[in-house]
Amino acid sequence: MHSPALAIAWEFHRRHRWGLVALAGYVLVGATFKLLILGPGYTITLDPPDSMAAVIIVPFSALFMYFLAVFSFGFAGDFAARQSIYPARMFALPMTTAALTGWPMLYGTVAMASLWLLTAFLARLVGGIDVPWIWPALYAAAFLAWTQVLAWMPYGVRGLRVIVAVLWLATINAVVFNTIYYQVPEHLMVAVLAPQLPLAYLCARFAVARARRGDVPDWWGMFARLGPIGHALPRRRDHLPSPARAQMWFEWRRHGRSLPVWVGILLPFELALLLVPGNDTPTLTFYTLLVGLLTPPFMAAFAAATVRKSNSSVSDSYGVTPFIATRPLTSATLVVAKLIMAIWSTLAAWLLVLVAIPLGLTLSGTWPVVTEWARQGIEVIGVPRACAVVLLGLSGLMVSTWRQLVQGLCIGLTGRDWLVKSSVFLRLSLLIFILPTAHWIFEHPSAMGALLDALPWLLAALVGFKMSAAAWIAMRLYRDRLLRDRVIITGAACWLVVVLALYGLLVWLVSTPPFIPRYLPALAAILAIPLARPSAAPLALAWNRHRGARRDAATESTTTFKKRRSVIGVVLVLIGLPVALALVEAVSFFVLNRNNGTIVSSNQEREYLLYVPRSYDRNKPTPLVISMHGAGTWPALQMNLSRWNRLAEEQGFIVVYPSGTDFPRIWHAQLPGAGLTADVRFISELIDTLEATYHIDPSRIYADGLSNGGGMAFVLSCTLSDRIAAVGMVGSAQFLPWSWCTDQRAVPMIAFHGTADRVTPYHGGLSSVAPNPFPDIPTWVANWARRNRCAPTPVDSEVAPDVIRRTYANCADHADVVLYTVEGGGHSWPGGEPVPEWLCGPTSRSVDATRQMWAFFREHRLRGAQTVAQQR
Amino acid sequence: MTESIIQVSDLTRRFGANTALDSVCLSVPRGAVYGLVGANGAGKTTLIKHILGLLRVESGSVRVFGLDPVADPVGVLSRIGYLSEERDLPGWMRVHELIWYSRAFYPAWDDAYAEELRQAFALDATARIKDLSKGQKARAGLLIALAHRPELLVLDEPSSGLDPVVRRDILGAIIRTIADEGRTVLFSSHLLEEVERVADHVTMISHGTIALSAPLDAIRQSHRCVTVRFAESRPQPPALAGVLRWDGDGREWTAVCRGGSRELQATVAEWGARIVTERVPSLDEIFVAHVGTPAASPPDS
Repeated sequence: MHSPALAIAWEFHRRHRWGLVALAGYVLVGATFKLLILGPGYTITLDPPDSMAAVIIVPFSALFMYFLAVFSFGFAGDFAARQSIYPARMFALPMTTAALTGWPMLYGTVAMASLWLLTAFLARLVGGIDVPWIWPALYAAAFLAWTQVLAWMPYGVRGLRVIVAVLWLATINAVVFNTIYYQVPEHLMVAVLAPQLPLAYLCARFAVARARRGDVPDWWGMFARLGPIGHALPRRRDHLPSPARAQMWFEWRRHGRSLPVWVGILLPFELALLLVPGNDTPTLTFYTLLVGLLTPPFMAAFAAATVRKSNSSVSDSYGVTPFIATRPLTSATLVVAKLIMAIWSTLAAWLLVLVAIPLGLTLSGTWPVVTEWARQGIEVIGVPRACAVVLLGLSGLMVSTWRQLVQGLCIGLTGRDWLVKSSVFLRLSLLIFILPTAHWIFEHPSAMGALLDALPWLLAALVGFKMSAAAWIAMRLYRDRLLRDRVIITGAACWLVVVLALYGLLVWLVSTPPFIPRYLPALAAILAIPLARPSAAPLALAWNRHRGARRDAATESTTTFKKRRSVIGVVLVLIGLPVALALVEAVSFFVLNRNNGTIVSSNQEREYLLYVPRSYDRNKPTPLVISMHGAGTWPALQMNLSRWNRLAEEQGFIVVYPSGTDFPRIWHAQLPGAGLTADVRFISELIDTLEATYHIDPSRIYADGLSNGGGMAFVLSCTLSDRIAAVGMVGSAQFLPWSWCTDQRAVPMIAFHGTADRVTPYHGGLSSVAPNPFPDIPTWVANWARRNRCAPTPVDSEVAPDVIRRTYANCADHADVVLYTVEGGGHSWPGGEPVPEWLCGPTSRSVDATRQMWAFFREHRLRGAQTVAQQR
Repeated sequence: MTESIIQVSDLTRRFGANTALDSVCLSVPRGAVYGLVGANGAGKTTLIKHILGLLRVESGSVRVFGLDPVADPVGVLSRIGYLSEERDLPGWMRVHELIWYSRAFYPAWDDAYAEELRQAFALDATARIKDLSKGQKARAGLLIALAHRPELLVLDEPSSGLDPVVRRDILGAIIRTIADEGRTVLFSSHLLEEVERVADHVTMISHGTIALSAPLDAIRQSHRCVTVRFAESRPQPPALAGVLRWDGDGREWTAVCRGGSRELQATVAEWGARIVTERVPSLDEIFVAHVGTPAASPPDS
């Protein structure tokens, strides 16, 4: 090394070369991915949510931050301290202050500009995005230069540097984004940005000169000189009752206050948005509240960084200092102190939130917005469920905050630098890859469908991973005697109880009746309650505190060994119970809901669930009822809801429940196309298959369906009217216009519809499930009656106090049209099994739709079907 | 038969390719003051860390108060007062908070004694530890190590970097400890004149092995520093049995040797030399003789 300048450059390079290697690796991987998988022609637009842009921008931003920290010496010391960050050891070098300031600034600005140029080059080459070259490079360089100034300046109060840096850099960002938004011409940007660099250099030189001569102001110290304030501090008279409490106090004083402080600083700024006039719209209020509620979990991720690092002044940076390591405490107690401190920290932060948010709402007068949401919510799902949802949400956020604080413990307490750094790197890369992948999945519905289909397996894999880790950890804790046996058992039992309680709550909330399979809440409950990582923390700490390879434990007496062995057995059983429960639920769900037949139609495997009554006689022609499920449900559920099987057994007919396709499972009855044609062909081929196997009466084949299945029934009446004798529909969802149906044959129809149906409204209009409006049901039924050339005036009769039957008679070919209006009925099957009321509304018991439908079907046979059968 | 407070048997520890301890055996009886001496990097701190359970035993065994310090940290550490080599007291604490916090861990804590020490050490109760000078930090650490009157006091390089006044305090603390019945002191140092003053047993460690371990009196009695004048100038002194180290040039050479002087006289006479002076060497000289590099050969005359 021949010059001081090169020496400084070498130091930067040597210290941080792994970061550069990581960057090069990422760029290489990204470029290969792009070139090999996506193809060179794949260009993208610069819309913010675009995934490929994210793939380029995100690592650029990460590296931007990294370079900021590197070239301002941010890694070298305490960013919040009063003293300058500039390494004091360099002040003793024989270099002028100008040189000490200038070389790092030069290297930093050149590195930043090069980073931008590289990114712009990649963006053009790989993504085809046209980004400007010059002014962003200048911007990056100026940003770095000013960061260096702020970092190297000494301040009068501890923590002031952080606040000033955040405010200043936010200001610069705001200015730049505004200029982009207002499309300021580039030469103006360059003219403004270019002089920043020499200006920043002069300021930095001043700052470093101050730091070099030790000119660090001390504003608190001035107060100390004013009087003996130090002696006014409260002296503690009472004694700490136990070592565990002492350690808890230590952890609280050391780390516990940072989260509440951060939250306390941020909340007023967030809630101040509400106070700005004109900002009390529901949308903004929603977003502000959301941000406020998410602040503690988000900040916990940052505060966790301080919880993890127990001491930064020890030789291996995450090691436990001898002071802590030689406390007469077990490793478990040390960890418990941290966990409890995290609880207090979480509670304090949330207390602030729970006080500040109502205050903010009151001051800005936006309470009415919130009460309106509450009212709407209660209307939809009822008071007990609404309360449960709110409580579940809040406690979920609190637990998530706590988790953020402590889940890093099991890595951080290991004290192994490589472990900590690689886990950070892994998380960051996961984040970088997950977001664009998620975006890509959203864009491709087939991928989304496959993902949702595989979701139970994914959850099961996660649960398996978590529980195996938990079992291994439990065995290690037991073998190393880090926790007393009683404590391990109690911990496992508590976890079990909480998981079962959460499972019960979720089932009550969502799965009664079991519309949503129960194993999903079971898996969710298992994953939600932390077990593995907090339990691993004592192991990590012991591994750190007692450095050295473990030998096999010394022999214990056989009796204690046997007694102790039962302990681990009990623990494994306790934590395995929820898994067993989920497994049982999953297996029972699959067994109860599987289909029993498949045919290949339109090159696709189509499934169906067939029910043949015990009284079926080969020699008698038997009617066939086809009952089609609603959107998102499945044949077995349709079977349970409609209860056709009971009637089929009684009356001696065959029922088949065909299955739709895609995820969620639907019938393609929304618009004409390949899907619709394939579905119709499937039904037709299904009828053929059944006719070949069983003695079906071709004049008595009927079709009915619920919701989307009802829409499909309409489609069948227009496409298979030569095979289907009559159709029925309950709560039908109709999208196709009447003009689509060109079949002039009169098909008898019976419909049931509830007036309180929010999914397919009785009087039509928009609903939450579909973008297009539904038709008004009475009008629609009247149109059908017109198609059937019925008498225009229907006859209404009261079947039950809340059920009115409207009959259109005198139709062509005796093809009657009947509508049952169920007053107060929801999107459900009247007389059938109840559906979740919070989702679909009430299920009426005043009329049995299945029976009425069968009575209607029996009166109607297919004319001309005999000749068709004879032709076969 | 006094019990062993510390019993180290065949302790071996490697860090990568470097062998920090090699089959070290140590047995510290109750009431003894053991001085552990060795060059920087000899293995003193490694040994002490094993005793405190900060390093897990990979080969051999360590028992303190008959217990395994790794398996039972509470049982062992609550009876030990430890002053570490790294001054790692939490800087954000004030002195009175440090006392209040430490008090909770030791059932035998003596408030009056702690206060007496605090005043003797002139520590301001409201001062933050990070604002204390190096010597005051050492005193604070010593305070919390002593205040609970531990059965075993472990000091790792207690005097490193401290001025004579603080060093006097620390030595005084050691002396006070041993004045009490049944309390044991183990301290490591490379300031041998201090070790000479208080220790009654000295263990010398060099490159992970024990070079010498004996009561101080025995060491003194068994070593001699002898100046020998040869008949003619010798570039290198002869290797004589019992001589650990030669220093000097030309005709006059000084030897630190083991054993009585009578054997040496006889051997020396064989070489045609005679003993000029004889004295008891200082511990420093004995240590260098056992552990240091051989004296450089004198330039060719």
